[in-house]
Amino acid sequence: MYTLTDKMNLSKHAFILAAVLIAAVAAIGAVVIINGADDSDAASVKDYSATPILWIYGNCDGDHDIDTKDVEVINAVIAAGGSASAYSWCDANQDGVIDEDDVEFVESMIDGTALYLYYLNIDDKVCYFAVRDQVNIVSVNQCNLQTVNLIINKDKNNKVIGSDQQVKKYNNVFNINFADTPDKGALVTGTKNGEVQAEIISTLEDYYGHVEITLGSVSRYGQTLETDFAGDENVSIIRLPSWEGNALEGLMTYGYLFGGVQNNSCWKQALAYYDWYMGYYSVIEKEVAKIPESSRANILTMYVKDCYAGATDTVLNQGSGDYERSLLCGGNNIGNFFGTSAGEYQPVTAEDMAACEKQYRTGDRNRGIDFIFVEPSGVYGDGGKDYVINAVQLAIDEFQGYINDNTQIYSISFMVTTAAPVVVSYVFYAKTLFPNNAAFKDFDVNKAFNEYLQLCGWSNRADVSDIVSYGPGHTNSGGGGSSGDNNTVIYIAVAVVVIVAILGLAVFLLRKRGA
Amino acid sequence: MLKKKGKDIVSSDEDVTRMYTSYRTSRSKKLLAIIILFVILIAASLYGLTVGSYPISFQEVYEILLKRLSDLWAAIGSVDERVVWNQRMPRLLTAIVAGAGLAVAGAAMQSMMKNPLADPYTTGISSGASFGAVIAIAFGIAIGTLETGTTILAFVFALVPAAVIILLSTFKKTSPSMMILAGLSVMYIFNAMTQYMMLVVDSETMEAAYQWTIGTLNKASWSTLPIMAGVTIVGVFAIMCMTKYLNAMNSGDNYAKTVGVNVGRIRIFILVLVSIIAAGIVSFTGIIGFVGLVAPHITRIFLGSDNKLLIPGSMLVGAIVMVACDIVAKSFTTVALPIGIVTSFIGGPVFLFLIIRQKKEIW
Repeated sequence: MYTLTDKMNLSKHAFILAAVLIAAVAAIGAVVIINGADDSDAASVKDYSATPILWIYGNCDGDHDIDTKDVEVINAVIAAGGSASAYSWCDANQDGVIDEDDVEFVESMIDGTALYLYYLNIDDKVCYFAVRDQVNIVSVNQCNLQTVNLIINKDKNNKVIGSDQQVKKYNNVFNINFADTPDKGALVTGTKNGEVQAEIISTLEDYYGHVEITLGSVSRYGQTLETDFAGDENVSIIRLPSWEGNALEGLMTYGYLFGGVQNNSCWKQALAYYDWYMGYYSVIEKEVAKIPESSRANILTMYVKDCYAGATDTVLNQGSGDYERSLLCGGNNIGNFFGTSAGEYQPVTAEDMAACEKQYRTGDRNRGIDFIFVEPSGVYGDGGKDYVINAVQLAIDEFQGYINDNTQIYSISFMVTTAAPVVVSYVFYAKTLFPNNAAFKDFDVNKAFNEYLQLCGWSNRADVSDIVSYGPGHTNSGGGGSSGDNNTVIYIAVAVVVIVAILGLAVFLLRKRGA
Repeated sequence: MLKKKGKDIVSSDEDVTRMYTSYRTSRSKKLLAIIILFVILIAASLYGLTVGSYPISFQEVYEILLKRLSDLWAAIGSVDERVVWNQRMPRLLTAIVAGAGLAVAGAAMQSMMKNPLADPYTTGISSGASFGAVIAIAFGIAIGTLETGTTILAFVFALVPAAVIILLSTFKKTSPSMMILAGLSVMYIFNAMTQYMMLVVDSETMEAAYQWTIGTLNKASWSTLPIMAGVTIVGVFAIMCMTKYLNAMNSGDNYAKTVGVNVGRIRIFILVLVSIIAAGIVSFTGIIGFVGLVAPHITRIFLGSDNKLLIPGSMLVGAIVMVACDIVAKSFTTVALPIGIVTSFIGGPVFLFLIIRQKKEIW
């Protein structure tokens, strides 16, 4: 029988159970609230990054986008009383102080209402950029063209209206289509070797209304542009890296300028590129970090001038970009043996290579030159593929017998070692240097290059053998002499013909004059 | 009895004997100087073989050298042997041939034109060669290989100024001033065309063309040396056969004509020889300046202006200068400097010093 005592016990148990449940819910709620509070306070001054991927002011956390996280960082900096000099990327409106105006400015960039923004160019200058619905790009230098073209190629509104005078030789490779122009049909070549002709830019400006010139550092390109178009709001001069420095940073910044605020297809292209780039780069970075310095292969990166075959004699050392890329992918670049002045064109002879091999062979690591990567540059025109393939043989002919028999010589096209397709070279280096690394088992140069082409919106190319050429490890078969013998015969023949001709001319004329 | 300004020069047989003895002594000293120059060249060459970026001792170098000389056709085994025999030896011999050839060409030009500032490039050879090289580099002209095409076009265009002067000789008297002026005209034309090409090509081509013009021995090899040496030896030998004509022309055209020298023809012929020698060297090494100008002057200080001694002496001095400059170029940094820079950098001050120190007029 159910009694009052039973009833009272039941109530007691129910009360206890309810109390426990309430306590549990409260605890869970407290945990949720605390975590939520942490999330809302995640961005802080320590999240500020002074080395951003996107060189746009307002990108406080240094990542590849401008979003609410940047707003949070700005707020944290304001709360901490940070100065514009210490937290320069937070000064979005470039008024010299970090305050609520910067928060509003970044919010306007996020919601697409910003009419202008500020960015840092490759010469460390703060530049103003008026946000436009559509851009008309004149792209100087083929590397810059590759970068810009990837961003806008799927966009119908933005167009490249002019480029380097050498651009025709790129057409075959990049299948670039240019907008119709007022006077020269499908293609305008307004620039030459970094000299941007102001008159042609003015003509384009008159026709299109505004022109955006994309190029590299003022030390190399268009030295007088800023002066020629000072105060002209319809000509924007945008100097960002394509080959000078980090291609990713340059491309993302271009992408944001042309479409970030408006969130149009240009910006989406840039973001797609970022994902593709980081998909490979993060894997490589992680694996390379595990490899001790002492285990890394000794490599040299060398430059072949297409126009002067036989000149496999320039080593690319620190500051050249190629040097840094090879280090990034896990090699031990020993190019500094030939001199430490930054950049390119350290001419070397076979004896110099032998000296390098000997020094490293007898050094602490007891390994000579493991890899030589030869990079021909003249790969854009007809016969470009041959340059890549021949470059390997040239190097073998020149250095065989002076370096290790096991040295592997490879050729990689200049076309993929800079600018937007640089990821292909990362894949190549990683796979070549670490062929047995499980993390790289799916790395494939052909696949990577086709992914790049897809990003560009071009049709697949079945044959990418002009991109990389795998040279055999050379054999010590006495050095390349056969081509030299053929040359000797040619030299003798020509010398005889020319000398006989000129002597004959002299004798004939002297006799005629004597008569 | 010979008189000069009222004074007797020769008064007796003793004076004749004394003069003859003095002449023979002077001649012997000059021949001795040539022998000393030859010894210096050998010593410099042997030292030059031991200098380079590849670490190898003196003893090892000479062991390799003796071994190779005892059997020239034996297969090369080690890297050490390859470096010494296939790299340093052809480089050394190229330096000797280039220095000798340019110096002889310079001496002949100076004597023929009676102009102390004449050198092998006076008639525009260097500008013609540069233009030919730039054309080959810019258009990728391959004759066998691109490098061969560059060499051949440089050689052909280097001879164009000589051809122009020869053609002009049918209309104008071939005086030194005519040749210099014609050479200058051709030089300006070629320079203009070269500069235009440099403007229109891309930066990498321009860099390659510029590097060619600097002058380097880096491309020396056993395959190119025989051609350059062959052209130079034949040309130098021919010039040495014409020293008596050069001596006559050195005294002036009128004097030369009085002793039966056909000045016009000889001048043209020597011009052709000088052009062939200089073109044959420049097309392989690029423009190496200063040697052709300064070596004959240095030689004159010790050997005088008699071309019978001046030509072989210039040959040796030119070779010594080149070998010495190559030693400096290889010693300077990890990788060798272009020799064209070294010859100009060192030769200028040395020449000034010699001119200042020289008390008697040598020209």
